[in-house]
Amino acid sequence: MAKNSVIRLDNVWKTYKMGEVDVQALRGLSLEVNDGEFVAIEGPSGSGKSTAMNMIGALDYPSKGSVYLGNHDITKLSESQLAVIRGRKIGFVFQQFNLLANLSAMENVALPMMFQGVSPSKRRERARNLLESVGLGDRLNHRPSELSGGQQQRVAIARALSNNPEVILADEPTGNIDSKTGQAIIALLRGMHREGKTIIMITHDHKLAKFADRIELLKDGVIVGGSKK
Amino acid sequence: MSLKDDFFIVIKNISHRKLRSWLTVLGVVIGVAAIIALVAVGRSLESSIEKEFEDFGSDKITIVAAGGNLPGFGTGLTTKDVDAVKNVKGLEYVEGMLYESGKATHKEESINVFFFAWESDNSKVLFDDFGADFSAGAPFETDSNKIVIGSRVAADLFEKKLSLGSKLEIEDEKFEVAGILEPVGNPDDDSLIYMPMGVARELFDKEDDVSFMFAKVKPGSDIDEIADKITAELKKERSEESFNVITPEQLIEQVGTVLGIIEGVLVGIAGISLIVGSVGIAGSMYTSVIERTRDVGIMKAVGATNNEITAMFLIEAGLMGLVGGIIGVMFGFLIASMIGFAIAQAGFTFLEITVEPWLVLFGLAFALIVGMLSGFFPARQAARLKPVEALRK
Repeated sequence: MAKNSVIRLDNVWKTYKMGEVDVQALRGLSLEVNDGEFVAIEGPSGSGKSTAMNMIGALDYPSKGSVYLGNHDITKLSESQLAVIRGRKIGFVFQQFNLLANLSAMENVALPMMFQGVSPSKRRERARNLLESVGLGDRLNHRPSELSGGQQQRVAIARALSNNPEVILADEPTGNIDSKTGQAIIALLRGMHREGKTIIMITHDHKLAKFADRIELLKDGVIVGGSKK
Repeated sequence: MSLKDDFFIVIKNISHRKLRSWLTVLGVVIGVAAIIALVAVGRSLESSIEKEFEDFGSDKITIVAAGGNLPGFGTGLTTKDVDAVKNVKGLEYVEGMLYESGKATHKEESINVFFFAWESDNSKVLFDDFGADFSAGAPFETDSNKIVIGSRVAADLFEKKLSLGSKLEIEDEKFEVAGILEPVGNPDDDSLIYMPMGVARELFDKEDDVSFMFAKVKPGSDIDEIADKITAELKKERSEESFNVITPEQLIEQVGTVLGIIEGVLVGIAGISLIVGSVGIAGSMYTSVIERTRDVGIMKAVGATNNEITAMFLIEAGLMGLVGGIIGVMFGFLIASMIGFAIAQAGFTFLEITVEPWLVLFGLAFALIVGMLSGFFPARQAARLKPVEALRK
């Protein structure tokens, strides 16, 4: 390995029970993402994208196979250990933004730091800086409901960065916003990549996937091909 | 995550759904207020009555006819029984008392009152031993038509107030007020008219009836032993079932038992309302877990552990319980004071309402524990949510 592997999936299977039927969402997915890469995982709906995202983000355990986060095998970690590592190593950007409605923009950005035990004053300072860096310096105390979709997604990006994670995992980050605002979001992600962050983006949209250095095509729960710039 | 952070998140959550939070808290408020008020009134009643008995003294024996053990109930005792008891050694005195009701007229206004009659030659001592102080005048000391009246007879019962020397017609005979008593704080006792036994026997045509006997033991004597001797003496004259010899201890015991039952019922009622309150908290917390499933998923995704989620929900439930407890204690105190005020307005000024510190602490601790217990299962349910499933909601 020339570069450090940040995330590695080894022959990962995931089976869900839907009533009487077993649904195999992932069927031997293998994937390695190295430090500093910008990878897009592209696939149509039903291809297992969301399940892949859950595996890469250590939000769930595989039914079979291994998932390595750095050198941690997540199948060997407890839920709580996983939560701590997830909070430190991965920053999530969700399609539905997933901000806490009760908290202001700044408090939302500070939340992951709270779970890592960062002191309140440091949290506030970093949250403000991050929000300023995504262009929301004037929206610090606004609640999510007082922000537009694009602004909410920028808050989410700032939150994803708050613990300075190794990986940003973006799931259809422009799916719920108009295309013009979507471009701004992509620009932010590219900017983060230029600064050295590893970015993994999950999308159904080939135009979006083309912004990445590498595209992996997902179909029926397995990688069926890819391309590299 | 520090405790301060927990509180920060919890308060954000609670204030986000203000009305529902307050309604939940209200359930606890009602329960705790009910407990505090009812127990405070019950305890105050108990201690006030005990104090009354202490003031009355532990050296008095009451002998009543069977059929009741409070003065004025039951009949059948006569002056012969009084003479029999006089044979018992160790008694300072024993007096037969007559308790009658009749018509009293003052300036053409007639009302029904209760009369208390005792021998005029021991009158001064009896007023003393009954704890009656004179605000004016003096006890009657001869069998003449002189009466002593309770404070309410003087001030409240008649339209026109009575004073020393006022003339009163009782059962068509003329009497003069020779003494007025200080209030004792009990409307019944304060509404009595006292008269010499000799006069009362003629007036009410009771030749040798005795409503009850009242005896005082000599200092240093064993009251229970003397009570037994009185029983033995009376048994010579009549059957054992026809009378009761009552010592203050027995009375306190009996009153205590009754008060204990009352208090138990009150606490039971209050307990039920607290259970309802805790069901309210549990219900609200469950709803809150369901409502916030997605929030829990988000917090887990960004690094919250199961314990941190549990702590958040537990603190939320405990805080609602505690806030309910604090408000409940205040309301309970207010209600108890109002009950005390109402009772005092009714003339029972001897009752002093106090809320003991342990009761306040108990109320607060109970509310906190009830809150946290009701929050326990919802909290665990929240913590067990899988982030993936929670985020899908």
